[in-house]
Amino acid sequence: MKSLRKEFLKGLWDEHPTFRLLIGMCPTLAVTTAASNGLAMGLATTFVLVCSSVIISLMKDLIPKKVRIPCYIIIVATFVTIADMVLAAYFPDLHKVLGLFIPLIVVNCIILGRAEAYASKMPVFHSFIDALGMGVGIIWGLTFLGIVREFLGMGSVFGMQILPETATSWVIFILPPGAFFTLGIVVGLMNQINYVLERRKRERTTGSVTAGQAVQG
Amino acid sequence: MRDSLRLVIVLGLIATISGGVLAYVHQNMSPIIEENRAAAMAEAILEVMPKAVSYEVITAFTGGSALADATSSGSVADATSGSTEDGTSASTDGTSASTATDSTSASTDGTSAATDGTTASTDGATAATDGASASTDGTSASTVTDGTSASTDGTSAATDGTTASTDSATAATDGTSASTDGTSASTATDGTSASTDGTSGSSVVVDVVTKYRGLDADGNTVGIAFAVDGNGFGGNIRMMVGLDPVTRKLTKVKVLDHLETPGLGARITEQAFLHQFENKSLDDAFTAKNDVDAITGATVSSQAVAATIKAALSEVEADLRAGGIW
Repeated sequence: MKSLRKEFLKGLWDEHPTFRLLIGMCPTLAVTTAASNGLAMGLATTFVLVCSSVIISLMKDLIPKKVRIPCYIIIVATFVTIADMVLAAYFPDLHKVLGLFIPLIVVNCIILGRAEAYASKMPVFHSFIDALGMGVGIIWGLTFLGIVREFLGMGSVFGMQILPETATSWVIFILPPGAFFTLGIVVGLMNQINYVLERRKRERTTGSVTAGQAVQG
Repeated sequence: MRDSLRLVIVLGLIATISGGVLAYVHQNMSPIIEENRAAAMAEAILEVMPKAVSYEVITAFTGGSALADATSSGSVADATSGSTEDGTSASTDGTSASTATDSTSASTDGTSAATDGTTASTDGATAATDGASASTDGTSASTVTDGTSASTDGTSAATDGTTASTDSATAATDGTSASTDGTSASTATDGTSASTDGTSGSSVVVDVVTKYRGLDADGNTVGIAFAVDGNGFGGNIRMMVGLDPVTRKLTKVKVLDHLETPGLGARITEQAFLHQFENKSLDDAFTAKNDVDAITGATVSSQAVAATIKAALSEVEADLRAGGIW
């Protein structure tokens, strides 16, 4: 049970797909112009990720090693198309916003990466939890980027105006360069936080060791 | 050999299952998607013409596409598929319009009025002005009720008028003959030549898909709307434009479909941008950064919207004036 929790939590921070593993950059950079776009893209990706991970994990003994990648692609593409059609049918407005990026989930490295690295080797339930953790990681990652960029670029969050209309908004943040700025700063911050955490942990452990050495010396 | 056979079988099996699943999902989803699209279209048509309570498709100018649109407008309570004649044939035959309100006949055939397509190639310029009066007469009296068919015409316009009206009367009752007549009507070249004239003046290539006439409760024309395709930054932009033919002002513009950059060009759908087109005179220049405020970071998309509307307006106006609807 403890390992399952670890499998879930690793996707949220330690192995965060976009901020730590730096995979699936294309949708990350392209759709996070607004918080709602980021959230919707995260949800769609999570749906595909969870479904395809489970199916691939179920079929891992059946799929020959030589053709595993084509098989994964077919399975992933099936779920992407389903997501695309369901969105178009029941959430036409959302589908209109995301439009082009939904089919691009097929070639998202996160999904193929999890299939190759995890789902094809692990039991079904573990794959499910792993995919869910990664999915939640993507959701918070893209939404966070979207919030930051929308706030700086348009002065609003989730479409609600926060800064007064008169305030100068930095349009560059919703332009493509802004995606790189924001992503770079977020990745840098995460590294810094990890570095500080690591050092504290090390100081705590090595602190006692050096104390012991001092006594010995 | 056995290995590669296994590879092929497994791959084929997965592909087949996926195909089956997708076919099943598509079968279930496509009617809903179509329904959404038709509902959004009907909603957009009435939205851009605030005064209208119902609408009808203006056919015989758009040719083949008229048929499909007539069926989709069936969702509107008052699904009158009105069809009007082009100027040339109106001057020859005197018929101007015949409307079938019977919803079944309206859905089977989009165009019910038919005229001799061959006679359409007479003098266009004079015929157009003649037709204007002839078909206005026809339209004002063209509402038909209870599925029984009738057709009115400007009998004073031509001697041939009586035969023409019986023709369209049978066309409205008989589904098969109506559809054959409808095809012959769509071959009349008057509408097409009018639209080429309209676009030749500007460098922007637009494609007016369908035109609609907004009707109030009494059946009077209170607005004109049209769907138009134009080239944006990322691809096609489809808009619904509503206008008031009397005051010569736009009533409302709505973006139906687009492929512009999310967060930038995609903001052409927002009211903040589209609001400025309301009550804008048809004679304005429609240039971004001049009389149209462009969206920051999306000048191309903004300009595309303005230029498309402008080009389409001249095309639609020339077209409808030739048809006598304006």
